[in-house]
Order: sequence, then structure tokens, then C-alpha cells
Amino acid sequence: MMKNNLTLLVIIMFFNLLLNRITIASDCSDMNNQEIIRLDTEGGPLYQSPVQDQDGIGTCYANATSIALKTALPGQPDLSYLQLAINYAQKNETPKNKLNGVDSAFKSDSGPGEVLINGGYVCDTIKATQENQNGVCKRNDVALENLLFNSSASSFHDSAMLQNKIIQATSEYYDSVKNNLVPGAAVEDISHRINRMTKQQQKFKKAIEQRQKEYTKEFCSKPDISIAESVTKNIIAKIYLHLKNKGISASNLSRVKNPLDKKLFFFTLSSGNPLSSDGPDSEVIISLPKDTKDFLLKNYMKQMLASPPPISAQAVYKNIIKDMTPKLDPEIYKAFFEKISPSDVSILEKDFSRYVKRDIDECAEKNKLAYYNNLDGLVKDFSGMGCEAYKKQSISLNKLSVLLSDNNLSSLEQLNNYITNIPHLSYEEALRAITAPNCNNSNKIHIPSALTCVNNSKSYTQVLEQYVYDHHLKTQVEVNVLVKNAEAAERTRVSAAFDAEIVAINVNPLYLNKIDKESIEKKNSAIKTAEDKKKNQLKEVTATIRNVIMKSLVGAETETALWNNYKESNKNKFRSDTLTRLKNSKQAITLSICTRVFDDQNATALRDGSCQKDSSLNNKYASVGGYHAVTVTGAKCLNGKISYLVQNSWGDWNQIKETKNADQTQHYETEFGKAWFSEDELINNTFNYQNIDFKK
Amino acid sequence: MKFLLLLSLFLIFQFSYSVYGATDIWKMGNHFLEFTKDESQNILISKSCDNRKCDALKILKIISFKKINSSKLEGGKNPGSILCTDIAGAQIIYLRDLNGNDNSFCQFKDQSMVSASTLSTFARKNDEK
Repeated sequence: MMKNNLTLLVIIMFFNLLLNRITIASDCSDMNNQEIIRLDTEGGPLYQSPVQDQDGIGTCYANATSIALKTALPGQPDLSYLQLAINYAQKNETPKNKLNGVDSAFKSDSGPGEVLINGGYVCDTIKATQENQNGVCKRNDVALENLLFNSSASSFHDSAMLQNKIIQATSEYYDSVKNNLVPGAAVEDISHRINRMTKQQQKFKKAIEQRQKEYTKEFCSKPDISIAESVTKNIIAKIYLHLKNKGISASNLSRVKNPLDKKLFFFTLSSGNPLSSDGPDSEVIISLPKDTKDFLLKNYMKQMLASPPPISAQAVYKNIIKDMTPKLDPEIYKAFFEKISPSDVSILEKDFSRYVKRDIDECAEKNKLAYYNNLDGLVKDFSGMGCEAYKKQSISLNKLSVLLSDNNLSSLEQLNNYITNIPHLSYEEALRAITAPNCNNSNKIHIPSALTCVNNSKSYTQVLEQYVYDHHLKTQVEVNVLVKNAEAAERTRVSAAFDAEIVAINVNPLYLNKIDKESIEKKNSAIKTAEDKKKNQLKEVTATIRNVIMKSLVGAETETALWNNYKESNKNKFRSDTLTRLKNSKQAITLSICTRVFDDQNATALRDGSCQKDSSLNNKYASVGGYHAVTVTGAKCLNGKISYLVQNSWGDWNQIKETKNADQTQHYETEFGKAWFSEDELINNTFNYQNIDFKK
Repeated sequence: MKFLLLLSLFLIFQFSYSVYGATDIWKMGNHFLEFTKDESQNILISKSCDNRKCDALKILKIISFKKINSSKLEGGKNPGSILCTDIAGAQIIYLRDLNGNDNSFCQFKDQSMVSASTLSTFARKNDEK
């Protein structure tokens, strides 16, 4: 009996296995069950490739392009997404804006500096870069992109949309220069005008250089204790580490055997540095009390200029620490100077050269931007010199330089040279100069024409529309009339709702008859929110209405059949295109996806014909949906189902972990900045995808 | 009295999050900053928030997507960044982990920080309530 049962079990298991294999083989096409393909594992083109974070600027298409190109180009270069976006905008957006009298894609007719990096397309970006003689720089050579995350700034600056802010400031500066090139006389020969204005700009540049020289000379000759202060802090930090690593704290001081350690503990306390790293930003902060700073200022500088001159800055520094009151215990003094590092000694000696030997070249070079940062001096200089016309130019130059120096960029010189030397300089070229001062021609990457990018898109609404015409349900003219009428009704409805909202804001007791600044700002903000809502509702109104009308014309049953057919053919093509590239040529695929699927695995934006927020979801939570570009960098076959690894450009992208299954478990499998999506989830929400091929 | 004690304990638990987790290091230049990574709650927040009520922790209770319009996110902008600047009124700081990955963090007036994605996570959690 037992034996029979066992035989039966083995037979069942065998058939089960066989059945599984058959199912698995048919569901995963060319992939075996349990097979995983990833471009980011060892040996893959994206191995150790960092995840990007585009912050508050709309460059997703350029972020995705840079990742896809890394997998396609020889040597796997990390290309600058900011420069890719500039190339895209210059080719595709600037000409459109020119029709409205605005000369750049990064501005709008609402005023200079209005940044318009609000989305784009992968294939157009690649094409624009192929055609652009400037090519594209690597991320490491684009200071704006690289230094944002690698800044050695001494304090934290608000970096929100920093790219935007710098582009805006560049825009304003560029405009102020261009405004000074406006002809004085109504009728003037173009070349004559350019010659005349170029001469004026050269004059401005020369004047700036002269004043800059004088300013840095004065600046670099001033008494300055910041070097001595920084060396002192370094030494105290080392004492702090020494005590911390020995586990010495106020609570166990009585058990500390070494008397010097005890003394050092009290010394750090008397220096105002408790032994704790529990600062509000979790950083170890070392500070100097005011009397120590005053003592340094008074004595360090005095001794530096003593007669006969001191032999070295280190000697001066040692002398004043010795003389510091209250006098240091000789043991602490000795321990203190044991901690001074060779680099600190070298820094002190540089200061000695600057202040005592008056060798200011290094300091002047380092502080070139300081002149521009001094708005009073800058404006006064040019107003006083009879250059009133350049006041605006000076103010915008100052604004830009403050942003640049705050973020360790020093490319202003280059931009200035660019703008003043090349009268026909385009705005985008000026942007390139400011964002990538270190990127010279030999560092640039040119995308070869052998690289192709093909868009794969077919609108589902078009499929429905074709069915309507093929089956003579309506003519094209009739459809257009239906859409036009429904659209007009929807526009009227949205406008009426908007008007009602504005009336409600106007009579709201919070704002009614209030004239204080805060109330006015709050009211304006409420109006702006209502305007944005209206704009958003109307944005995809045509696409949504067309989709709804076509669905009603074909009927629910036919529509379901059409959708299933459409989805199946889409799925097969996508699978074949993606797996071929991931597996054979190790190349990534880029997608234009609706972000609703990030919040809701059941979203079907493609079937809805638009990425508008689903009203039923709206009741659940205020999910934010929008078009977005991401990259597929892997695939796997598990239990006969394929899923794809999607790489995003939102940093760690942890919020996707909150998308839950019915039993409240996490739905998407995630990694840092990446998540796995089933084939259905991707196909239901991908509006198009791009095949990038390169005959290597 | 007992009731009051229980009520206050309930309120403390109701209106504050407690963060427990592994330490993570994120850096900006020479600044090495300690963060707590609480996988169970999907939080990445300044270490200093472990034992005090920091602004970064407080905002998680109230942050919401409700006032953010989709048009604000055109071009696939990071929703956490927009929440930080437009709703929380704080500033964005870019940090990099020891593997070179980029991440934006939201820094508050008391200098505490929370990752932009944690803001998105909690905005969603709050909106779902």
C-alpha cells in the first residue's frame, strides 16, 4: 500500500514537473526558469554605475538617455544628463520658442530665467547630440552635475533645483549682456553694430579685470586668522577623536588612569567642545570660543609682522599658543603640537607667504570670484565710472557669481570670455560654458551615426479609432465633431468649477478684507493652486475624451477583445525587443511610462489613453501621476513569469515600497533606486519604448 | 490620574514616530553624516532624530501630496524634492553614499534631514489614512 502510494506520488510529481517546464518554457520565451539577466552585475556595462537623482528638474528623459548610452557606447562613458538636456532643448524647443520671440528653450515669454526643462524624448535627445558639434561631456567633467554631490563647501547650501537656479542666473546675465548689445540708432548696419557693441563689451571686461586685480590684491593683503583658526580646530578634533576612541566621557572620568587624558578631557571641555557628536545634523562640530579667536587675531597677526620677521608661520603659531591665557599646561602644550599634521603646517606656511612675503598670486587666483560677490563695490565701480548702462549687467553678474562660488564653481571667467568674445554666442553655448568649464574638446564624447534609436509606440486610442472607421461605425468627420463637442463641454465644466473655486477663495474669511502680507501671499498661493489644477485638468482633455468616445462607439465587449489583442501583440514585441538587447548586446531599453503604476500595480494608463489621475484612486489617496522616463536594465524568469528591472532617477526611490498587495505585504521587489515590474504592469502603463542599437 | 497617564502615553505614541534601525553614512565632501535606516517603517533620517523630536520627524506626521498638482512634476521630477521645497518649506541637500549613489535629502531649520523618498513615502501613508 505504502509502496503504491509512493509510486503514485512520484508519477504525480514527474507530471507536475513536466507540466511546469512546458508552462515555464512557453511563458518566458527565450528565458529559462530561474534565469536572471542584469546589466548592473559584475561584467555588465552598468556594474557599479551609480543611481542618479534628478531632484526638482524635469530631465528624466536625459537621465534615462545617459544610462542607455552608457550601455551602448564603447568604453561605457557616464554622460552628463544636464548637457544631454541642453542639446535636446537647443534642437527641439528653442526653434519653437523663437516663433514666440524667445531665443532659448530654457526661457519663456513670461520673462528671462523661466526655466523650461519640463520633459523631452530619448530618441530626439540622441539625435540632437549626434548632430551637435559640441557632443556631450562626461558627468565628471560637468562641474554643476558632479560637484553638487561632491562639494567640499564648508557649510550646507540650499541645493534645491540648484541646476535650475544656475541656469536662471546664467539666463539673466546673458540677457543683461545682450541688452547692452541693442542698437543705439534705429538704422544701423548689423556688422557695424556688432563691432561697436563688441568693443563696448571688451571695455567692460577690461574694466572688470582691472578692478578684480585691485580687489584681490587688497583682499589678499588683509589680516586673516581663518587659517590659524582652522588649524586649531583640526588639532582639537584630533584630541576629541583620541579621547572618544579611548571611550573617555564625563561619566567614566573617575576611572581614567592616564592623567594626561584627564587633562586633555578638561582641555576640550574648556575649549567649548563637549565630547559628543549629537549635533542636530549628527555631525561632529568643533568650535572655538570667542576669546580664543580674539587672542589669535590680536597676537597671530601681530607676531607675523614683528621685526625682525619670524622664520615661519609654524613658529609664530606655536609661540602664540604657548602665550595663550590661561597658560596651557606644558604637557597639554606638548600633546597639542604632537597632533599638528604636515598638511596643517603647509597651510600655515602658505599663509605666511601671503601675509609676510606678500606673495599673493595663489590667494588672488583662489578669490577671483570674491570681487564679483561684492555687489556694492561692483555696482558702485561701474556706476561711478560712467558705465551706468552696465549696472544691470553687474547685478546679474554678481548674482550668478554668488551661486557659483557657493557651490565651488569658478567658471565665471570662462563664461565672461565667451560672452564678450563671441557676439553670436547662443544661449545654450553659454550654458555649456558655465556648466562644464573642465570639459575641453578632447574630453567630449561624440555619438557616432552608427548608433540608432527607434521609438516603438502605437496609441491604443488609434487602434480603437481604426476599428471604428474599418467597421463604418462613424466617419472621421463625425468622430471629429463628437470629440470637439465633448471637449467644449468638458472645458466649460472645468472653467465653471475653476470660477466657483476662485469665488470661494475671494469670500473665504481667511483672506477677505485682509491686507497683511501673509494673508495676501496665502490667497495668491490658493489662486495659483486652482489655476494649476485647471491647467492640469485641461491638459489631456482631448486624449481622454477621444479615448472615452472610441470606447463607447465600439462597445464594451469589442473593446475588451481589442485591448487583449493589442496588449498581447505589444507584449510579444516588447519582450522580444528587450530580451534580445539585454541578452545579446547587453544594452538597456528606455521607457516612457505613466508613474501611476508606481503607486498602483493595477493601473492601466495605456488603456485609458492618458496618464491623468484615476478619479477612483483620487478618493483613496492623492497619488501623483505623470509621464516619466526610466530604463530597463534587467529581466528574470520566475515561475514561468517574466519581470523587468527598472532603474529610476529619483535617488533611493524608497516610496515604491509602500505599494501593497491585498494582504498589506510589499508589492514591488526593490533595490536602491530600482524595482522589478511584471510584464503586465509595464505594458499597461508604457506609452512607448526606445530601441537603441549600435553596431560595435 | 491613571487615565490621564494612559491618555498621555497614547498621545505620545499617536503623534510621534520612533525610529530604530541600522546606521547609514551619507557624505557631502568632507562632511560625514550619520543616518538611521529603519527598514520596517521605510525611513532614512538623521541619527540625531533617534532620541529627540526633530523637525524631520515631525513633518512625517503631516506631509501630504494633496496640495501638489501633477503639473508640478512634469519631466518626471522627483516628487520628494517637490514635497520638500513646496510643502515642507525646507531645503534640499544632495548627499552621496559610500558607493557613489546620489540621493536628495530634505534639511530643516533645526538641521535635521530626511531623505526625499521618505517624504514621498509618508505623504502617501498620510493620504491613504
